[in-house]
Amino acid sequence: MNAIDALFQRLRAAGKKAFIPFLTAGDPNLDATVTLAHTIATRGADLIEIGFPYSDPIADGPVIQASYTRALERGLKLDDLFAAVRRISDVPLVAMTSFTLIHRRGPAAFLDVAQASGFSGAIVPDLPFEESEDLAKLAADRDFKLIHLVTPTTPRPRARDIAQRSTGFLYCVSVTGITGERDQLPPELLDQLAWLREQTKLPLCVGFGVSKPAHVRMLREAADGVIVGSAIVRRLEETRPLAELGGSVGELVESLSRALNPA
Amino acid sequence: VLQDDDGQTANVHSVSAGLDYPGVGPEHSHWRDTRRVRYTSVSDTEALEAFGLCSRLEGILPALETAHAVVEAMRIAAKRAPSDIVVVCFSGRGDKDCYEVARLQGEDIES
Repeated sequence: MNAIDALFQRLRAAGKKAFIPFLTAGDPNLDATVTLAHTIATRGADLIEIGFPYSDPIADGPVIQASYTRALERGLKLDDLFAAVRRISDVPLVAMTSFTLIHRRGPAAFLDVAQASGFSGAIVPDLPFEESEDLAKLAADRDFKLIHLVTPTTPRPRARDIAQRSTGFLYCVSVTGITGERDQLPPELLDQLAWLREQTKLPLCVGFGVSKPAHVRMLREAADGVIVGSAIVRRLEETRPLAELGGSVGELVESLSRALNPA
Repeated sequence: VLQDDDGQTANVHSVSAGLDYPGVGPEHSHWRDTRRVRYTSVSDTEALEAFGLCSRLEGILPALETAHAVVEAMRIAAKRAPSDIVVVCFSGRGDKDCYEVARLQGEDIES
């Protein structure tokens, strides 16, 4: 069974929710990414989303975009990224990648190397639903999850179609706009989640803007998981010396995962 | 799109902001492939020279994008009889580029 399916099955049986932190591969360097993945797996991460640095990210705010730029300026290459990810084995991994990188490598070849490196699925935010059928077939052939996104402004018939094609889980974007920390999440989000719940049996995971324990508490009844990116990536940028990175990111992950699954 | 082996977009540069772009759209690609349009290239230095020449000789301040076309027009005109007519489309005016051109020439016209 795919590791993402197994994870949600296990969490549902235990009445728990998935905490899904995001790490940029290669920021501040690939060794640090591997070490951080081990660290956060011991501090509450159930699944880790690995961001593939890309020169022209369309869905990311300034924090993640700057993180991608730092990694690329250090000369990060895809094959080095895959080689490093092979060293992470603590929790299931999902790739967050631009379709441009998949297209350049060739979709089948890309999925093969991603799967061989330990990824159980991918989120491809710049792949429109109408263009996703071919990649969805290639992924299904490999039992590799292709996680689609719905946003607050996705029309309902379209959201229903997206929910039907998505596998692994459904990525519910909490806000309009790009990734980045927000003070508050929109209250309508809970209505959207309740409606989506009637459309699909897939786990619903909420991301974009989620950055505080209060956000996580607001979502823990309605969602099956939360995804936190920019708040973590900001620590990758700000925490120095690097020896303190594991403690800093670990502490944040622990505080948010405890808000999601109180003891 | 100009990109590396991984698919990362190349870092491109042009003196003209409107040409500082790593890709070519499908219409231009089609026109090139069907040989309906011949495409050429012009350096920053040549475009800046044409910007100055066109401003001084014609009293027309071309956009830096247009200045690239002026360079090619001068190349073509040089091979033609003086009585031939060469048409250049001035896609934009250079008011917006004055400060950048002055900066590149080491002049301060802002104050």
